[in-house]
Amino acid sequence: MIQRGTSHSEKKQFMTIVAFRLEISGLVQGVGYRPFVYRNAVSLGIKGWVKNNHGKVTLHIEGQQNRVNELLDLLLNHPPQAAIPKLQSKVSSHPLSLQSFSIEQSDSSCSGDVSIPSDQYICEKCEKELGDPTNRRFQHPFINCCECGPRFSIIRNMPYDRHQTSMGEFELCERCRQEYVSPEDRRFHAQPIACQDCGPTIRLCDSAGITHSVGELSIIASIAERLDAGDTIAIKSIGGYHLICDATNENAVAKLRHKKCRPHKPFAVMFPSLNDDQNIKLLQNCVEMSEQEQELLSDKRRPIVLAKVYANSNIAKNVAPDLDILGAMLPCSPLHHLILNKFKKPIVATSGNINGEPLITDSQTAQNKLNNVTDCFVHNNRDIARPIDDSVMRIISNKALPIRIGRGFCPTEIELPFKIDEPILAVGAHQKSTVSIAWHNRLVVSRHIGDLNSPSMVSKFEACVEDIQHLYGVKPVKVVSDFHKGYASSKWASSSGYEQHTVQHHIAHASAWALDVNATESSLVFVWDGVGLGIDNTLWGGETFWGRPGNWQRVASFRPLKLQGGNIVSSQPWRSAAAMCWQCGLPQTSIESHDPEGLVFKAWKQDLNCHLSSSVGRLFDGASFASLGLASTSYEGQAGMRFECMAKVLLAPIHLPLNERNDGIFEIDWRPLMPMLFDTKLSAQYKSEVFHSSLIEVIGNVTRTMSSIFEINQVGLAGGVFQNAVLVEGAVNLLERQGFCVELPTKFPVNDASISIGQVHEFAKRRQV
Amino acid sequence: MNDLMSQSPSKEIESLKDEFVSLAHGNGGLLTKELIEQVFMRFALSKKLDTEHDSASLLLPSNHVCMTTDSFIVTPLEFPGGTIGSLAIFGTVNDLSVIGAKPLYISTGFIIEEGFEIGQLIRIVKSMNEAAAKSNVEIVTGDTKVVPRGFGGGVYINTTGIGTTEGYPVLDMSLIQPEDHIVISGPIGDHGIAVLLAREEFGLKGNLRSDCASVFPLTEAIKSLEGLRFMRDPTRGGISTLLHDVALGSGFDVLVDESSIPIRPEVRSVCEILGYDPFVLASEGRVVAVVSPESSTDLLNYWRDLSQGAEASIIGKITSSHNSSPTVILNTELGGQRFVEQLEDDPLPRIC
Repeated sequence: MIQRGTSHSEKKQFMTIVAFRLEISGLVQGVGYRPFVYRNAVSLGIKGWVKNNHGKVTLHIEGQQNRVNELLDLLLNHPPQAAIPKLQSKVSSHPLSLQSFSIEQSDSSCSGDVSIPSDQYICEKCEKELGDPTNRRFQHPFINCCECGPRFSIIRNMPYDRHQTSMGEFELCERCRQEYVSPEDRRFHAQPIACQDCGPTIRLCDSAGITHSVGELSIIASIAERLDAGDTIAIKSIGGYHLICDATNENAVAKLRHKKCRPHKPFAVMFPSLNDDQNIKLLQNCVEMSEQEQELLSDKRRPIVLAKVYANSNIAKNVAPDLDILGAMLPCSPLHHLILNKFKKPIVATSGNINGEPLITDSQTAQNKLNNVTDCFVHNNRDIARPIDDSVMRIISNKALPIRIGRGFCPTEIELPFKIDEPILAVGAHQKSTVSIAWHNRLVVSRHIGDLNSPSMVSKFEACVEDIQHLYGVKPVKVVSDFHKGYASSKWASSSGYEQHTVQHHIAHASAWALDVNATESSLVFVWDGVGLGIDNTLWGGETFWGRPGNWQRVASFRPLKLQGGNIVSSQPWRSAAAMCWQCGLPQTSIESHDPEGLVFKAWKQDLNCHLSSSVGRLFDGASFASLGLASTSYEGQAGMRFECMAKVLLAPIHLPLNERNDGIFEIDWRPLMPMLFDTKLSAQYKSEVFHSSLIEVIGNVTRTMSSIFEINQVGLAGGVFQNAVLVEGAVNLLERQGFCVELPTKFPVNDASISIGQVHEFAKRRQV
Repeated sequence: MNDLMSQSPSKEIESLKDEFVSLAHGNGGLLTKELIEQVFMRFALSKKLDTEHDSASLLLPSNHVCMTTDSFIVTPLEFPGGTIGSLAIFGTVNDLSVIGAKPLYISTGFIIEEGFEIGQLIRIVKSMNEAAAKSNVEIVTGDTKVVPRGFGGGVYINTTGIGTTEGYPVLDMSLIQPEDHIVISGPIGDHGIAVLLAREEFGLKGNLRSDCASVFPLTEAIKSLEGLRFMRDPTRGGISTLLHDVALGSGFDVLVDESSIPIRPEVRSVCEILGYDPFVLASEGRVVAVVSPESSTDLLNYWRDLSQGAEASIIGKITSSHNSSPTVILNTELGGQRFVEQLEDDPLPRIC
């Protein structure tokens, strides 16, 4: 088995021919891994083959020992940018005297072991070609290569091969085919490869669906003109339609707000790519960004990054009304890049949907549903396999924390530190819905689905449950849902036919935190959010737990508020404020104007449609009403976000006592805050600063009190309230000063999107206990 | 009748020895006899109400006899637009009417709590008799029991009703077809909110009254209409429960339009301020009919010709999506869609 043609100068010991059969798992499909293997094998003179096999990559390599070692080092330690290879097995094999190295046909059967690549913005090389008039892909909106471009949004089935994606409909032209089969080409086996001759095309339509223009150059010029004129444009992006308009034009933004029935919820703003000084200056004149934030903004996954906006920036005030933060992003597709390069100003880029309805992904639905919202459409004929929203991140305490897991990040997976005997499906909460599926030692989380209030959202939820099972070839045996039976996800679970189990909402939060930070010992976890049903049938939302997944103990909670009105309480902060006043016996003229006939007060006194709640979210609502007069809100979190914005520094806290109740739970009494909150002589800024510092002090006090009972190493923060940077940074500083180690979840959002993850973890551990 | 109603209660009580019901009023002795004569018989309008014999003997116009029974508990016992007495009559009359029957005779059973004020009992009995007269039914037999203090909420009433149809009743949910229309005879939730406001002594100034009434004129007007599939009155659980029953019973989804569902501004505003869902509120004088699309306009016209159907409206339709868990979907006024929630034992908030 001696290889011919090797250099005679090499010493004999290096002439030894070895052969190995390797199995490499992890994220190795759709990231240019096989071409990478091929190129390196060929350049090292190694023979053999590589193929996709059940989601893994299988290789046979044979050659001189030193060359083989070199190849192994490259394959495992220096993979392509997006690949995460894991060596599963390496077995010595007999050399087969192969004459070449080849990429073999994928094994088409697929189950259990696949990893699915996510959508990435184009790489530097592609971006350069895009702007190069001499390149044949100059201004081609669908440019991509082995290492970049769309993936999850176009994959219909696994394994990841062109005919299994929505690019399968486009037959390759001769030049693209040459690139696809040439091992030396950087588009060798790039599945979504395309060019002007054979790839998808864009077209500009008016609201009646009549095509006005084809051809990239004229369409892009026309888009820029229309943006300049204040028009709204619905443009097909990677995971769905975007609605875009000029972010510096207050009238254009007002028009979009009016037509989308979205009076206040902030819009994200897309800036031109940071490829020249002028564009960098444009960004820096609008938002105050740390180096870390700018790095995150430039990440190939292209998330929306929440950052401080300058009060005197030229971003229209109604883009993010009454807030001092802005969701900024860079172009997420070549088309967006081209548009912004032409327009040279930031644009609003918001989801193309009707309020509360799913993100739209196809041109027909877009024409039907958005024709009253937009002035024109930019469609393309590359199908979107599934809707994927933009991702949102925020840097808090120097950590990049996900707020929403969408394009670029999903599907997200985490390796479980234990094995699961039977596949589990977890269906999450009711808002910010995600589903998780877990088998063996893997947990995969779906994309962000949204709030399950409308029939079409529930259909999307059901489609997502199907999709995740189909892609990974995993059939669940058990389903885990929230303890609240009224959630659409819980209702689905109970009629699914699977064996159903439930996990309480805040316990799911705590267990999601434990998986995210890989907590190995018992920990103290603060779970503060809006509302979740507690096992005592009251509404929890200001809880502290001690323990570990499968065995949590509720050790502290806020003094319950009696809230009147049911679901409407969350959008009417004055009701929280009223409950706070009435419970303290404080008459309030500011509340009477919202209940002129005293009906709510009478209903409150007589327990009509009233619920007890220990929610911190509702305390924020009450404080926001008391400070800003915000009586009703139009989007979730509005009261809390506006109140957070008021705080510039932290003032001395008001001490909130901890009292041990009969049931052994320490109750946090919020009442001492009341005189300060309702003092009309104090400013909103003062109130916000004292309120925040008082809650931070609560976290310190509870931790100190519990540390006299338990041996606390790690403290966790979970639940939607901890998207508040002032609160989190204050709490982290205080706890670290006190000598505690604080862990923030960085893999999954701290809000209800993580409920499905916690449901899996809690349920699996409970069964092990 | 009007003369009787205008008498002051104090004058009526004079003829009774006691002001409050005692356990002895239910022991079958002299006090029982006195209570029956001075309260129940005195305001009775039916010549057939016979206290001498143990059963009423009735002659029926048809062999197709329909019978229904219902027990009534309501707090408060008196509310704007009615009392537990009128409610007990209309409820039973309406149950007979919606299957296409003509209500004829009613029995009543009273369970009274010891210490109940006889003056109030008289008001309840009077309104009961008035309701029977309005409904053209006769109360033909009755019973009274007294339970010890603390064992009952003042007064409970059970009524059983008999009516007849000309042939076998034909209306049934199994007749419902895709695209059929759903029509309601008037605004929803008046009874629910009127009772709620009366019960909790809200002292709200307004004209809102319970809609409790006989729906017989409404059902009689359309019962022979070709294409009529099904009728029901939206009582407990409101139109939500009724529409969910229609979805389950037919196997089709139900689609209703928020903007076409009649609802009084007073009811809407109380629901908004207290956070109640008007779709689960009870009505006691409305009918929902499912009818073929060809006949829905005729049905609407028949109803609108009647004073109690003046605000009748086509509120939605049966869709063609046949599935294993049919549901009720609402087109909202904002242009979106949501599920109509079923009434739960304890509706708990879901929204953060």
